[in-house]
Amino acid sequence: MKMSKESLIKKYVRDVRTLFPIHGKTEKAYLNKMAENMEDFAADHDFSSMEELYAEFGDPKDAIYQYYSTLDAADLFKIIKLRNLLKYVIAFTCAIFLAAFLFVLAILYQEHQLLMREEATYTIITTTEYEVSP
Amino acid sequence: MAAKNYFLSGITELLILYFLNQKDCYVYEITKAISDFSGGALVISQNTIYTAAYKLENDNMITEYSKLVGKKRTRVYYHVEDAGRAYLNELLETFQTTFHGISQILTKQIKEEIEDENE
Repeated sequence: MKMSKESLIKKYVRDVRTLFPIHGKTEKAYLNKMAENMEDFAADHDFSSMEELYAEFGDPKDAIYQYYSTLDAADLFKIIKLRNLLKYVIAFTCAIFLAAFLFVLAILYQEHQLLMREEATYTIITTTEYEVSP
Repeated sequence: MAAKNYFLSGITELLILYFLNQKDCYVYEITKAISDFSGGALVISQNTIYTAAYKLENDNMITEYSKLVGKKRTRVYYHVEDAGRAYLNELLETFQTTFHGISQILTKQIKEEIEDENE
């Protein structure tokens, strides 16, 4: 299936986006401007495949490599720190949710057990009443 | 291939600033100029140019403006600022020192190899 120039650009930008380890404001601005630049090129030039697009703009991996190679050490460490922090926040949130889920499960189980015991007591009482009535 | 990319990424900023110092350009124009003026020896992808320009813009070395092309379409042009010109001179100096140093190493090594062969 032949894709339109617009779809090819969208796919290219999407491919680059998925390769970013974090998706901040700066990355979003970078991608928007990249798409703008590609659309400008597409208005004057023809291409019909991703290979042609790669030949002109480079592989999406290259785009990521270029992006990070332009950052200085301080910015790069800031990104690594942020990514690590994000990992901890996600892990902590998951742990909290898991603990809450297990707690609710334990309470439900306890209530269920209580209900079962009450039911058993009720059955004994009924049996006793049935034996008394004749 | 990776070694070539690494080498090119070091000189991309220099080439962008060099061409922008001549006149305001857009990304494709710079890419084409690099390829044409180097006789096809240097082929740098548009995104490499764009990324380096994006960084230079964030560092206030260059600025961008939109220019109407045709009836409706606008195109982003880059313009070099004074800070960019100063940075270009710095880069040119570093490049010349590096190039001179590498040439000296290679020339010395070639000379030694020739001498070894003669002995």
